[in-house]
Amino acid sequence: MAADPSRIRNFSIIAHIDHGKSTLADRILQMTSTVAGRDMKEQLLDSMDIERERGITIKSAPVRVLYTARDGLEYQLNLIDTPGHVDFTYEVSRSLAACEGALLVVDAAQGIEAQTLANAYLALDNDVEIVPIINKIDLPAADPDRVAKEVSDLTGDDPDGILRISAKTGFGMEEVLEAIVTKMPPPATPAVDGESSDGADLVVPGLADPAPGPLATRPPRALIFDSKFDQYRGVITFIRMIEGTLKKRERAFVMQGKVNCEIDEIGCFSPEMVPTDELGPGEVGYIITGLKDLADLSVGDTVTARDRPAAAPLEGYEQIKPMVFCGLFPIEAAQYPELRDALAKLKLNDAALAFEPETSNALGFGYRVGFLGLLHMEIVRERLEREYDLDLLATPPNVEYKIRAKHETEFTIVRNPVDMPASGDYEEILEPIVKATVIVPKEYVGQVMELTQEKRGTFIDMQYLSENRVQLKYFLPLAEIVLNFFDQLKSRTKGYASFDYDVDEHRPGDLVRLDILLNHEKIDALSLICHKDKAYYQGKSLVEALRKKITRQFFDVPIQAAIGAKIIARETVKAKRKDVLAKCYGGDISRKRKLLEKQKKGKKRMKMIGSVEIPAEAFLSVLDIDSDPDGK
Amino acid sequence: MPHAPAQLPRSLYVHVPFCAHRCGYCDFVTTSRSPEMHERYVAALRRELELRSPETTAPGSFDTIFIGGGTPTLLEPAALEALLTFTRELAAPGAEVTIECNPETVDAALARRLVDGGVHRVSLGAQSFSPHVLATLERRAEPDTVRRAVATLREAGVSRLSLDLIWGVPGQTNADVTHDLVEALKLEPDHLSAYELEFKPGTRLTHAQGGVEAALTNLGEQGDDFYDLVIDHLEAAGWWWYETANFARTPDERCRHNLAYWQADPWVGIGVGAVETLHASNDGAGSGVAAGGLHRRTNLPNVPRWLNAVEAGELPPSRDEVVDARTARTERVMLGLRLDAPVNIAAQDLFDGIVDAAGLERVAELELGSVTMVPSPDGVLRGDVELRLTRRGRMLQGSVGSLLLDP
Repeated sequence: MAADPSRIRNFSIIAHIDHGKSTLADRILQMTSTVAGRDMKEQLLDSMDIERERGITIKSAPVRVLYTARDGLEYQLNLIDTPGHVDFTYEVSRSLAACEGALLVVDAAQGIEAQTLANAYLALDNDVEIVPIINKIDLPAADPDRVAKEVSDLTGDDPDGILRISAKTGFGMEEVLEAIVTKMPPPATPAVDGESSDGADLVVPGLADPAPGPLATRPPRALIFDSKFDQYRGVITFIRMIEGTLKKRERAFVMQGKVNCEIDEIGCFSPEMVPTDELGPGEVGYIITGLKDLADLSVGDTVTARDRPAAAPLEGYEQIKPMVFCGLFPIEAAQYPELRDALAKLKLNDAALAFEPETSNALGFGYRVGFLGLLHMEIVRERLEREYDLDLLATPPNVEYKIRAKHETEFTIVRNPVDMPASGDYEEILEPIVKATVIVPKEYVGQVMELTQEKRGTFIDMQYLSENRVQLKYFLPLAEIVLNFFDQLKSRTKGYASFDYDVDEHRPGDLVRLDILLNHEKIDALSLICHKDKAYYQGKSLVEALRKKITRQFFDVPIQAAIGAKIIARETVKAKRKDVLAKCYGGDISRKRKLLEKQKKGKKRMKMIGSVEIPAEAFLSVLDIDSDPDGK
Repeated sequence: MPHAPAQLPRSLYVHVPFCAHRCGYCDFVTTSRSPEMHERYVAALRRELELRSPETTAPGSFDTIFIGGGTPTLLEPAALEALLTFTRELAAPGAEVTIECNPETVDAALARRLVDGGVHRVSLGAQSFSPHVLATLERRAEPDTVRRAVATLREAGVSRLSLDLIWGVPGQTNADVTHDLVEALKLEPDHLSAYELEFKPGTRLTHAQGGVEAALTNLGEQGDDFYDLVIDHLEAAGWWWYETANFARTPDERCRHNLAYWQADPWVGIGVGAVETLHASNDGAGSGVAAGGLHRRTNLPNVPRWLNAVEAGELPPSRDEVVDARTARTERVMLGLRLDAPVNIAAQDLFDGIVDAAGLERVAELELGSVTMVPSPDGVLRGDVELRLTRRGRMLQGSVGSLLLDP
């Protein structure tokens, strides 16, 4: 029997990294006895090793808990965890679309950060009820009054009414659970003309055309908000029932994918998957259909029952578009098929990942892969290497350009610097611009301005969030951000700055392609597009960085940077002349042999290009370039 | 399966760990002097050989004996005499018996004791003739000490004399290295070992340079220049560069004991910290080493534990390494690359992938070596080849090894 929708609360937690979201989630599970004490480990919802290691959440994992509120009634709370990093904004918005409420967690010492703002706006856009919480009030540096004021400016809540808690110590947690029940609305149910919908009159975003009839008995419509691939069970689809009921063993139909399937299992997360007989309106859970291809059950699609189909699908999500691209190549060509399979498998759990085959004259066969941002790129690469045991070589990240050739009216999309025509062969080139928000203590405003200027930023405005904290807004070329903007921002503001951005539009830029020649051969995988005024400096820094990374070979290796036919910088890796272990007597033989083994292993991280051996890391040398032309 | 007849080791290494002082670049076992300890130590050496290798205790068992250290000549006279009596018994007629010697330990009495004890080859640690280089190395001898030591040893009748030199020392210049070579040759030695200073982690010298990486960065390409200079100078003087770091006045002056290592022959090693390598077949059935493999054993570098074990009639604590047949074949080629004699690569080595044929081609292509086919006695080519490294190939021997071998 499905739960009464009025006693369901679907909510998520939104927070900046490190503001205590996972601790809060862990605490909720503990307080509702969802997880036995002995099974408790930190960041329970973060199931990937990488998530625990980095202390971040990438994939949202929903979980159902039961809570008996002060009114004596038992409520079903469905927590849909969200990632906090800017790269994963899309995951947040997906999670939010399945919720009616959100806990907005703000660190009592740090205050509102750029991502808190971004996610709070997302929640507001999704008509999600925000319950702000000031966390970590046990910290010595906590300043809950100041933070309450910042939060109040954002949400309009009375500063004195904002919950002040410590998820770590458990202080105030009971109030949090009560607030979920009392302040957040039950699942919104679509109002049909002339019909009451269990008192709730919120309009579900995306539900444009509700069917008539009592809620539970209407033709079912379930929104797919996430899915993951399990190698034993196939695709596990996370759904939020909007109306109607889906049952175990029922024949179902995926409306936009137009795929028939049977529901082999249906259930909820508690936090492990727990099979049930059915899911009713407002409930959050999963179905397993035996379908093996994630494309058949894409996120945003609608699941209905085949024998009582809904008339129309729910309005889905906007397709996520990758923003950052790089080439991924296996160091050993023989691993190409494995790379293809691994990417396909990752894609099953990562709707934002996009890839297409790429051929490089230097690196052979690989893939041009699109990511949401740098962290996403790093994580995908790490997972490919770790979970799929691949040795990969990544080319420098770049963005998507629009180029209009001479005498043409149409723009072509360029995602690989190699595809950019020689200068003079095109009329106009557009690059993606983002609207960036930086929040920083006021003493660092100068440093932020300096950095954004180096990165070709255009100032929009500046606003004091409180006496000491300033919010700065800029237009910045995305290309500048994907290199090392965030690292530099952090280091120049001693880690105090927080940063978020929204893609704005493509704008014309005075850009050129910088090519790198190794041993007089152009290495396509090292080409990059940069601003004309910075090309000389970047070329010089890049060849220098490469000289340091490329080990000495059997012959001199010239490294040149060129724009078109013009060489703008040159360095030489001098040939090695001596490579011997001086002494080798009885006791040294094993040591010498092990040295040889080590050398051999080191070679596996090397890529032969022509007759030059290049360490995989060298391809990312561009990330080592300091943006400051006057810097060291 | 019947085993091939054992190849009995014909070389013996004897380690004497005592030193008066631990030099700043040394990372090896050395303890201070104590006369009664010396005699116990020598007695235990004899005992260890009996325990370890009863089949090689008969008189005349070894063609080469090398007494290394430490500073073997720092042994108290009685202990040294006892040691030399032991080694003289073991030496076959015409055997090469070498002892390592610090210049400051040499006087007429010691020289006489060595010659009377059957030692006719002395390896003298000169290291450098530049006072500032010696100071950096924390060597106590001065250039004149070396000169006097050479004269004293020659007078006593030491017929074969080798000098050790070190290059790549912080602060050393090209002129310093040339000076060392000129001064060394003036002493008319028969053999020279010229080693690149190795920055071992944990030594005072490496520490003073700011660690291994920093030390090598400081040295830069100068190390390459030094090596060139040493080879140029000695070859111009008519010397024979027969091994990576070793030079002989004539082919007969090559160190036969060390050649045994480089030719992958078996040897017995006794004493604290000593290493030995035996061929599997004479290692007994229970050793777990398959035919064609090696058993390499390193005595742990702890004098009291070694002494206690041997005196109690037990084998001393050691670290044992089983080298399988395939790895042994790899080692043979790896060591062969150090010598000026061409390396023989059997067709079977290529077939089994011990030596990578493509790597061999690459070595030839890069002019690091030349490859020729070897006819067998009946004149038929069986696919065996000989690799003769060029000078550049020998200087880049480590890289050649990693092109050829897949350990």
